[in-house]
Amino acid sequence: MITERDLDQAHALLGRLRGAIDEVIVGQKAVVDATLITLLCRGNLLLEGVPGLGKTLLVRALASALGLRFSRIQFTPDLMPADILGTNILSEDGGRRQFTYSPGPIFANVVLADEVNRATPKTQSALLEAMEERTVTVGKATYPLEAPFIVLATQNPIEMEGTYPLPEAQVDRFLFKVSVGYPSLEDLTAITERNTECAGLSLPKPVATAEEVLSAQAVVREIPIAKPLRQYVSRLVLATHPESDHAPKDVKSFVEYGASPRAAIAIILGAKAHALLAEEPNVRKVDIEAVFRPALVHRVILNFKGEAEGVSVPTLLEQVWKGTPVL
Amino acid sequence: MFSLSRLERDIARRSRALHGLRGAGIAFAAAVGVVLAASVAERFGAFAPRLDLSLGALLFVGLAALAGHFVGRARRPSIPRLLLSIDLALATGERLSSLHELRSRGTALPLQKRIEERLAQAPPAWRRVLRIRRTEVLPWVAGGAALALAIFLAVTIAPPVPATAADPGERSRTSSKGTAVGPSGSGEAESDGIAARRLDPGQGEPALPLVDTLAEILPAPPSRGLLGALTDEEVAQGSEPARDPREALSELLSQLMSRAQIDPRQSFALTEQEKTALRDLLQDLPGSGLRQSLSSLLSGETGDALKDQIAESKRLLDSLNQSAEGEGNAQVDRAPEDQKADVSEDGSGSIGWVPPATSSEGNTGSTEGGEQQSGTKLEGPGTEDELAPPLNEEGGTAAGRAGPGEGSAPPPGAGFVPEDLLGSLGAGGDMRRFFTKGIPFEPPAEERGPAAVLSLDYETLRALLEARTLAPGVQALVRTYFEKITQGGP
Repeated sequence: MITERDLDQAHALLGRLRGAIDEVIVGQKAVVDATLITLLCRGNLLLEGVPGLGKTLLVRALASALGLRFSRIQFTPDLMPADILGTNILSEDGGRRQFTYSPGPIFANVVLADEVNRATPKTQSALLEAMEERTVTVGKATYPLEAPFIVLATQNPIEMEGTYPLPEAQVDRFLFKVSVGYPSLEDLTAITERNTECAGLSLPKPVATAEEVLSAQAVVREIPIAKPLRQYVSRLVLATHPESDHAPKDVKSFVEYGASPRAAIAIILGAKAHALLAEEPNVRKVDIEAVFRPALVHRVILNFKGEAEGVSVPTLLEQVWKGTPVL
Repeated sequence: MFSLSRLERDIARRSRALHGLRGAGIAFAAAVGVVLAASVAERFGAFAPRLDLSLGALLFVGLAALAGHFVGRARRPSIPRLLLSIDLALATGERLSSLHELRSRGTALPLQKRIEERLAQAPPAWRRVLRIRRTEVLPWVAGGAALALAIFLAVTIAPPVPATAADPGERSRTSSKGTAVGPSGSGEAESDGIAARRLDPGQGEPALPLVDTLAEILPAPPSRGLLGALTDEEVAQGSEPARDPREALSELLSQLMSRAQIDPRQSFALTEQEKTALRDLLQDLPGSGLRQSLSSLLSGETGDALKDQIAESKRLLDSLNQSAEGEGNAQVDRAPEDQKADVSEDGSGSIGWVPPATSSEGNTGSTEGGEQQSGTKLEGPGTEDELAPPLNEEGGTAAGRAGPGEGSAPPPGAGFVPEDLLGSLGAGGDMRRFFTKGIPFEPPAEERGPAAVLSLDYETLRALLEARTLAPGVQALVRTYFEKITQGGP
């Protein structure tokens, strides 16, 4: 049961976090919101964009503002799972040799998996357990990760040589996939100003604690959503399945696999967090609309025909959104 | 403070009222559809229009609407959906539906309080959403239009004729004449009455005459075209209208003689029908000798004795006919043209062909009957004037007795006007008859009997023949006649 104080604290926390991030990141409001929503939903975020758009900076700013433990993993083709999860090393204690677990960089509150698609699938899979169960298993031992925990991964869509596309199972574990776009003229001017004047860019100071984040995450779950709206979300997700009666014609033609139930959970949780972010006491249709595309865009897999004809998933999602009535 | 409970109660009540209205409208439209179908069926004669049925139909529509209303009201409205539809329509930020969700969960009181505060600041005008819409009105409009059409169909049909209250005698009279009494639909009502009578043999009514039977068989009223001007009584008696009783008797005796010839049994006797016909004819026959002879036929004799009596009666009748013809021919009136063209002013030289009275009258009647395709019997003189004015201008009797070529000079444009005669009896299909316009009707070939009077004034007759407009075949007939009696020369 949340209290008035919890609600007010959550609103205050989000305000502070947004202000701290805005000190570093110019523009990119949707990306910042998606990052905060992911944090509130206890999810993971996949940021996609060309180099130089501030993806890594955003993650670092968030981690800095949260004041939590932050680790960065630069994914390369020769990166091994043990490099992420940690490994058992032989140690000697009092003349007695034994294996001791040495935690990897995954043991942090905010993990930046930079250029995650450059590692092999084997290494990428090392993140699966951590992202979903918030645990790490090495050998026969399973180690819990400290809450709050969030993986923020980035990938470059244009440098495809030497990359390994993320497996569907891992992609599905990202709450949202957000494309980071080019800044506008005003934003770009502000970016250059901030980075070239005075002492240059500095990361924000911590404005939140782990407890406040956890409390805000609890508040999100209490945000009410009407039952018909919940049914509406289910219909939206089912409409991405080619075998569904709700699916538009193009979905039936070009989609191989639709979104999983995890997508519906992501939409509802994301809508709740979006409502909290907007200081609304309940989920609205606009909240669902705000998170519908980033929650589904990486979960709809095109078939060969769709790939061959260059069909874009966002276009299909637009059809799904327009073709699914609320009631 | 905002009260969701009261709002939900009001919304539920309103929604049920709308559902009731819609259900009633749908049931009303469906019931009216049934009534309309029944009206159409009634219009096409599937059953007789009846007042109690009409009232029952209206009652049915009302009850159906009432039942639809209750069925619609019985539907429990989905409050969350209603609230969300109101939210979406009024752009309330989905607060009503979310508040309902919170209340049903019973948790998150701070959020509930905040939603209620915002709703209290701007109470939703939910009545704007739950108003009477097209879906509620449309069934009523469609049903109303259909009901108006059904009423129109019912009103344009003649008032219902209670089948049970109809006088059997009157019904027999009207039905036997095939008369459409009402402006429309009475014929159907009448035929329906007959059908009802057939279905109920327990009423013990007498067997229907021929025309009645035909009226039942045929969809159209019986045409008088083939039967001529026979009335039902005449048809029932086996005689022709206005026939000379002597002719009828002659025919009857001929039939009896024919039957006697092929029936060698000693038990040969008259049937009851024949006896009845004889009794009827006896009343109108002149000559006590003939009547006595005929009475003896009714005495119950059988076998050869009866056959001899029949032959004797026939002989008496023939002699009586011959003497009567001599008198009758001398009394035949002549047309003015004939009088002017006639050389002998005393009328004894040229009489011309006198058709049998039955033929003339029958033909006239046939024309009349043929004109009345609906089977209406002509009773007023005005109708006859309308149908055959030239004949009636000469006077009904004169026209009836005058044969072809005996009438007045045909007016301009007179002639034989072919006319399609639709709807005849039997399977012969449509037939063609000549409608005589201004001149007498040409009798059928079988009715052209031998000339009863021999005319010797050949030149005058030839002049008459050439000067007049005659029906096709008449000239050939007359020419043949003269050739025969003069054996090829004057």
